[in-house]
Amino acid sequence: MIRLSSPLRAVIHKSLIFILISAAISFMVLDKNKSATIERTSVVIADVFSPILDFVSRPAASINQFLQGLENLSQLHKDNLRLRAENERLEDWKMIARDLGAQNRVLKALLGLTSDLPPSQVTARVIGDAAGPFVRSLIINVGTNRGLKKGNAVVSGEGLIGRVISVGERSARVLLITDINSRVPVLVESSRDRAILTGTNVAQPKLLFLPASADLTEGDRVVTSGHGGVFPVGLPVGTIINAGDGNVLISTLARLGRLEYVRVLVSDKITPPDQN
Amino acid sequence: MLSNFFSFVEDTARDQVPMITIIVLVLISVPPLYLPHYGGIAINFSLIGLFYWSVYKPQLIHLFTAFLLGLFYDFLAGGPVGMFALIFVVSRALLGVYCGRLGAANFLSLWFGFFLFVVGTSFTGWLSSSLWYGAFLDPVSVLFHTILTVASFPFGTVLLVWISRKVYQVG
Repeated sequence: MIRLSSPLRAVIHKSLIFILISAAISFMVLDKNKSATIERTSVVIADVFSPILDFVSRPAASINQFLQGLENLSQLHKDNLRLRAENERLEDWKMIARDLGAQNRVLKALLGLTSDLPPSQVTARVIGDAAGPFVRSLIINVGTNRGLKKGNAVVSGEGLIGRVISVGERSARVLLITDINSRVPVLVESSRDRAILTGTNVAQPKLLFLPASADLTEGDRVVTSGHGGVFPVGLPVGTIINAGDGNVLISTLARLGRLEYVRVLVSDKITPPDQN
Repeated sequence: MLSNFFSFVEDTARDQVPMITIIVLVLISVPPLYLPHYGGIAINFSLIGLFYWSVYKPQLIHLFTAFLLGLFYDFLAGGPVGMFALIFVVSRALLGVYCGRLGAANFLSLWFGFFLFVVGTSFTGWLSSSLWYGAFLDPVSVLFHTILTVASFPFGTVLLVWISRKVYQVG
């Protein structure tokens, strides 16, 4: 064992704080430059600790399910009446949709159009989301073992929530659409105006690069445009809540604060056989 | 001979307790609580552990240990890697200076010390992440995160005092 002389040891001890501060700043710079080693380490750590995070998140999930059960129970009668009315309305829509579907098939056949097959989905449980005020991301309990890849879109029952940014064998990290690094090509459903949905680390992301002539109304739905090829076309994202003063804010359809299960759209773009 | 060995193992294990409790506190900081908008203002329980052990057992939280613990938090939370390593190292160094005074203080003074500590870490986190992202982050969520973390101090301290008493017969 090498013994250091006392003055040398004192110098090392005094300079240790500066060495460690420099090391921390170096890590930040490396991470900013998307270092593969940093990303790989992050993936390995999330993978190793994912069973523990899964275990630790279970009690809160059980309490959440119990509370939601109570909430649902108290609204049972009201929900029943609402669902009966909705069912009647949807029966009418079903007939219209059947007609439109048949028409659509005939017209596509006439034009020789083909469409992408819908992507397959993997359900995942959220095991980490409390990252604090400096980042908006989730850790989910599936990874390459279920076919996940970097860039896969992640949705909840209500709409888009984000995309996979790193994948381990048993876990993956999802960047939420509200994160400051998130950019999603979208379009306003009614006016077909294109824009980029940009996260700001607060609950309501905003729309950037809208055309000057864009005709927006509060309540308009925003869906993914599919440009860039990362997200499929037409995934619901949110509704416009503030269309004025050049700062267009979106209320996300997915309740990003209370996600327990999410679905990952895993398949790559599949070319139908008749396009080959 | 064998008793010396067991005594060595016991002492070594005892010395690792502060580090292990901070790792556990990091692990319970990250899972979801399913409260609306909680993720963005989540309590950082590991700050309670770092503060407590830096005050009462500073010799067991070395600067390098603080650096590694901060790095561990960074990798798990998914923010800028190195940010909490920086915060933990600076915090540990500063707490090392004031640990004598804080260690002798009553609970309310200790809590006030923790308040100043969390304000400092939150501001450093906000500033360094804003520089890292190239845009100023929303200070409101940082403010709520600070309030929640400070408010959770008594609960975290009860647990850490209990561990101290069990392991070191002090606290």
